[in-house]
Amino acid sequence: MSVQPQANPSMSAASGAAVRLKDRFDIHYDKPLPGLRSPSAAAFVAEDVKTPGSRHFAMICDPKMPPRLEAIRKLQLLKSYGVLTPVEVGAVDWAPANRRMFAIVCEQPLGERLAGPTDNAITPWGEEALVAHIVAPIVQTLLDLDREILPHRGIRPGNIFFRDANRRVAMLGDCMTSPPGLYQSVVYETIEGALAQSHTRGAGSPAQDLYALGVLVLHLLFGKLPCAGQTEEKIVEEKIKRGSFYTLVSEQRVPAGLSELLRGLLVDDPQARWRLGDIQMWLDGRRMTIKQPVPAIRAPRGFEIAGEECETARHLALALDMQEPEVASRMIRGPNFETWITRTLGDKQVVEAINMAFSTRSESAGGAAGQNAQMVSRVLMALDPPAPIRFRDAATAVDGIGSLLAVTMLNAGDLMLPTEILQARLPQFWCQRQGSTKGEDQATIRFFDKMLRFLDDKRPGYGIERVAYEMTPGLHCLSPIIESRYVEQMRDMLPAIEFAVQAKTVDVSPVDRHIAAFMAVYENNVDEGLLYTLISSDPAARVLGTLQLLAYLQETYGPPQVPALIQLFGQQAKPVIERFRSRYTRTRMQTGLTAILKESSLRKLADYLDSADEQRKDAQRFQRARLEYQQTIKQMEKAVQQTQELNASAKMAGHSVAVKIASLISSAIVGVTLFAMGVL
Amino acid sequence: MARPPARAATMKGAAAKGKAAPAAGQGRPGTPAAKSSKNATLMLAIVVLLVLALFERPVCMLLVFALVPTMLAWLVDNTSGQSLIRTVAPLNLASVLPFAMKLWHEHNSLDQVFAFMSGSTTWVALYGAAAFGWLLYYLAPAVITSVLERRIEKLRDAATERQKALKDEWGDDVEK
Repeated sequence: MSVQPQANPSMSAASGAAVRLKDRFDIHYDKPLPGLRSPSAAAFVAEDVKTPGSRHFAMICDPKMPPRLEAIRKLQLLKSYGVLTPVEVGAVDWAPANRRMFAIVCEQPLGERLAGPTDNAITPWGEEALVAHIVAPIVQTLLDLDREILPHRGIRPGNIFFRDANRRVAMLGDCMTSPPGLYQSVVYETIEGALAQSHTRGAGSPAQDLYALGVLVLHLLFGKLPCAGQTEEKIVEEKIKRGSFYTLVSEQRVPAGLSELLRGLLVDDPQARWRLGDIQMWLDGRRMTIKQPVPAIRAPRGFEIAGEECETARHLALALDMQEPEVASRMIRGPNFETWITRTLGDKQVVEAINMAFSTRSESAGGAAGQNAQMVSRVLMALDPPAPIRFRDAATAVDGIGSLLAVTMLNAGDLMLPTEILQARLPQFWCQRQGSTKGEDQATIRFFDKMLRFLDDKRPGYGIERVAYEMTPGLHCLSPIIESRYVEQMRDMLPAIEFAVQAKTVDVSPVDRHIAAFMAVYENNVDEGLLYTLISSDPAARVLGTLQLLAYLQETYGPPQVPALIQLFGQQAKPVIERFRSRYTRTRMQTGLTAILKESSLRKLADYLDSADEQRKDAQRFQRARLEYQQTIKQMEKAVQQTQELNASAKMAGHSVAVKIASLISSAIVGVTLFAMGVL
Repeated sequence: MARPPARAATMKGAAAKGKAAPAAGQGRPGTPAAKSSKNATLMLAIVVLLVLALFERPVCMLLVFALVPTMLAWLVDNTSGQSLIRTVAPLNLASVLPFAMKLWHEHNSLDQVFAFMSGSTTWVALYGAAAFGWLLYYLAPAVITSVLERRIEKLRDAATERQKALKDEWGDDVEK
């Protein structure tokens, strides 16, 4: 098999049609396991090379979906038998796709799946067996997950296995390979979850798992999916109008023994919904009282939208969301709306919230239409605070914005929508509307304020890319240069870049905005100043900044040899060497470069090209040379001046010399005469 | 007392080494100081000659004949510090000295003076020395000019060479 070991030092080659993960598991891509596959991850046999005969399988995640890294980490710590738990995770070279992909190795469940992934019709379960084999084990698992504050968000028949071959103990299936709740049908989702887009439902809370458990009980009890045959929109509308319990149970008769449980789990108000402790007590045989949820305020006269009479604020929000933003905006600004809200509905909290929605303004790239859409979104939040943020075509839970951004990026979608949601501060408005007494909302507001600062900063290491990596922990680096190398941790970054350079995928700068943002998130020690140099107008500064960043990676994580990158920087060294003013220094640097390139060390190359001592000396010598040049100019000016004054000065000097010579000769004549005459 | 000329005072280098600057008290040509100095020399010469005419008539006569070149120098000398006089006069006077000594020691008479004058050797000796002074006066500046010209040329060539070398190493930026 071809695994390109030069770019993947952490992985050793396995034999046959297999790839080895972290020196422990051989994943056989010629041995698929259709029975264990998830909607976003194909399953294959995985052999533990240290423990032959063990039953493991690997899920190979769809690279277009970000895995739930937080869930993976928590499940690895938890080691619960009641849920599919990762034994080993990591990226592997996946030959069939000719790229690297994220693999999650788990133990194979001994039992089968409760139902096929697409089976809506199931053989009905008896009340006793359902509680004993399904509800009780799942509640125990949810208790384990609750300790780690980890909602599963994938409770449905197609994602439940049995721990034993006799189908006596149910266990939860995969909750790691895709965003939370992605493959849940709207029937299994609370109203809030059902209103959101499937990939932006967010992790939510354990209360959503309990709701799904209630739907599961109904599903297994009657042997068919509740509300089967109805459209998703209709189901959601019915849940809002009639409540989930009545919508899902419909005309069917619920056994008295389960009625209490189902009423407790299918309450739409999360505060009134049963908690795990309540179910435990119910399982222990205690008779529980059903908390009556506070009914929504109903208007005596409905607000009509498209022939639909909306009696509650939540229903009105749903109906407005069905309209085009411009139409909804006109309705909201119309006099009927205000009258209905203030006089007919008469909910003071909603009135205050709508006033706040009208008074909040944000800049929009979309101009007046954009501001209208923002206003509509805020009014929807004012009418239905727990519902997801609904803005234009997006409907996202506040903790699902990361998934929205990641999935949009992974599928090359339009980033304007998530960008505008953040810029309009819609998540902050949503948090303000929750009225929580805990500090969670304030922390979330601060987090989104920080994301907005990152978004508005256009320097490398910031921008929408930084926001995506900050908000989606499992998201691998999406740089077009290295996306196929699935870099999800810093140690894989340099080998991936080296691979890309070898493959000639990159021939200019091997660090782009995605790589810079990824490094800024996962590598705290990176000097931000280096990231800024990536957009410097000076080509030498750009090359040196890139080189210093990669040298840091090589020093910290290896690998020791990166020949392709070294050659690339060798080719790009010209502007760096040209920075030296002295021609002799440039020649010397160019000559010495060959020897440095042979060492294949980015650090040595960076130190060589970016030597502060050498630059200082060059600058000092240049200053001296300039002074010297100025002196030579003065010297030449002086020579010209001397030439001009030469006749006059030479005449004076000549006459002076003549006087002296005459004096000397005269003295000699006098002396000789006196001597000759005998006077001396 | 006149101040040294400003131009001469700033002279440095080769020209200054030649001590071209006039000494204190030596005025520039045509200046009142130069004229008074020249007049003072004339007065001194006339006084000396008058004294000699009273007590040493032959010597006085000899000097009148012998110092004609010096007198000519006095007439034509318009230089600062009377360089021509100071060049010609010492040589002229020194050439008279042997004849004057001979007069004093042997026949101190006008006849002897005329006897000296009748011999061509006397004229060659007296006027040759003076002529040498004139020659010296006119040749020395030419020689000095030539020497200084060569020295300036060498300095200019050295500066040009250095500029070329600096531009070769540092490029045109070194000019800025």
